[in-house]
Amino acid sequence: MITLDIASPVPPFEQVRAQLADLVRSGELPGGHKLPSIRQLAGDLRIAPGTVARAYGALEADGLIASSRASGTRVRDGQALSAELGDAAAQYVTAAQQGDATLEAALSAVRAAWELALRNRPR
Amino acid sequence: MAGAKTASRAAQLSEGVRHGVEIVREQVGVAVEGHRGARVTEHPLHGVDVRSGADGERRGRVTQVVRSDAGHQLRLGLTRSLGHCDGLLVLGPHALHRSGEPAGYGVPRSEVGTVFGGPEGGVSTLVLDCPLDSIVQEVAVEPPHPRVSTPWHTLCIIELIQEVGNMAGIAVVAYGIAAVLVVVVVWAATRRQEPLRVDGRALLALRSARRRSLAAIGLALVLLLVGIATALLVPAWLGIGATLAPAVAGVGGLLLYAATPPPQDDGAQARYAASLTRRTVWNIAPAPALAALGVALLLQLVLLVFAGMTSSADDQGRFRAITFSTDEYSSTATPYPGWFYALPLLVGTVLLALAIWIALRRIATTASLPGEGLEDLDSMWRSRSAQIVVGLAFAAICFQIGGTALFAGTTMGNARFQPGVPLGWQVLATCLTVLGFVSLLLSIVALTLAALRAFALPKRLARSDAEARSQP
Repeated sequence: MITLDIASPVPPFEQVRAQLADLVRSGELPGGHKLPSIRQLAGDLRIAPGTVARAYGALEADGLIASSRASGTRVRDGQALSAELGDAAAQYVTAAQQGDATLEAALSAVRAAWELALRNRPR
Repeated sequence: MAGAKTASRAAQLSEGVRHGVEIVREQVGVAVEGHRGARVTEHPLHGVDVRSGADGERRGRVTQVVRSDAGHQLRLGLTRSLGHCDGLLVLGPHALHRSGEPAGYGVPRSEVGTVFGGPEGGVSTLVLDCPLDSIVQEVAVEPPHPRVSTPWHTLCIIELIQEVGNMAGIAVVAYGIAAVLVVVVVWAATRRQEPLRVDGRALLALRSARRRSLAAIGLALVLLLVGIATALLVPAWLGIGATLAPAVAGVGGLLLYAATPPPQDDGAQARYAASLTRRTVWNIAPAPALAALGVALLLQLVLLVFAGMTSSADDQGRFRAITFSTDEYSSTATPYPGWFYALPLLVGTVLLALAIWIALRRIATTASLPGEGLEDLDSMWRSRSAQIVVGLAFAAICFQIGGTALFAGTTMGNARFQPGVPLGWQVLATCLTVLGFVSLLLSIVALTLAALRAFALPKRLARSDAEARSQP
């Protein structure tokens, strides 16, 4: 299940793409899962089919899903993150919530840590 | 059995006529009205006014009979010509024969009126308009020693076979109404629930679905009745209209369902939700219902092909008869659902299957209920609507199977009464007749359930929604 917030400043395309990407990476959408057709998803969310098509295209470019004329759009195998990473993320979220951090603040902290790790990686 | 005795009687008569005589035997259905029970029988030919009316108390008729004022004219629908027979022997239904009275009449071929017919008139019609004086033989059949002597070398025997009459038709309608009432009572007793509030966002869509379902069922019923009425209003169609009525009714109702647009979203919601499960024709309806529908479709196709392959041509070359022939006898009866009926029915069945697919696809592709938190309700709405559509389609197919099997069984049963026909045919005829009645009953039950589900749509969904929410 994904939702679309009409009032959100985030474009509908990005809302769809981000939610689907999260669901694939978290393993909630397992490999081989058949996603709804572009027309069905667009109708349910009351957005243009082109918007959904664009989101599917971006996900396909990221290697998360695969589309074919015969079998439709499916989640590619092996895209879910490891269980250890999931557990670590859960621990981090718990700590962030205990510290009254917002989602945006917690994500910012992750991005900063990510950049720092890249810079410190031995070449 | 009366039929078996009739066959035996015909065989004995033929032996009594002359060895080596050529016999063409034709059976013509007789519908009897106002039958008062087995003990109150009449001479079968009184009812068709071969004699001068008699007591006038009982009224019977022969298929394709046209009564004349003089009361001496008899018209029989024949599926084959008389050929070159010298004489005609008309035997009444054994079940209606009264002891001590003639069981039939013999008429020289030269005295027999016209045999005519054509595509517009349906089966050939034999007009027996001879005066009473020219009836040269009264055939006394007193078991166990039937005797008939005629001066003719070639004899055409026409046996009148008792068919289901109007009283039986009324009884069938009464049983149908009783079946509807039973279904309604059981439904009301088992499904009664207090109406619960339905989310206002969903109510509009639910009411629309209810209207759409009821309109489809209503149109299907109207088309069915009109189609059946054509059997009486347009006899030249030879029942093709009535034969196709279930398929046309089903196709019309389902296409109306599919063509009715859903209510427009008012755009008042700030958030919308979407399921990530692909909805298809195959996963919105309960699997058992779809399986039953598939079995019914398959059975219909098998039945039609079987009937077509066992049919024979009538004298106009139309495959709407069934004939059992041996070296000595030939027995033909109509109307049999041969290729004349089976081919249009096959086309109708294919169109019906296509209409089912279109209607179910319409349910699958309709946008979800607007807003968050309505996912369960949305899923249940689709499931219930699919049940209604499948129920309507199942009713149409079962009605088709019922009509096909009933006509095949009764006509086969009428035609097989002659020496040399294996008993298996009678068993098959009985099985087909039973299948016909069961299918018609199933059709009535399925249509009633579909209508009840449509009427109860908003309440039922509210209750199911509450049940779903109460589950952990």
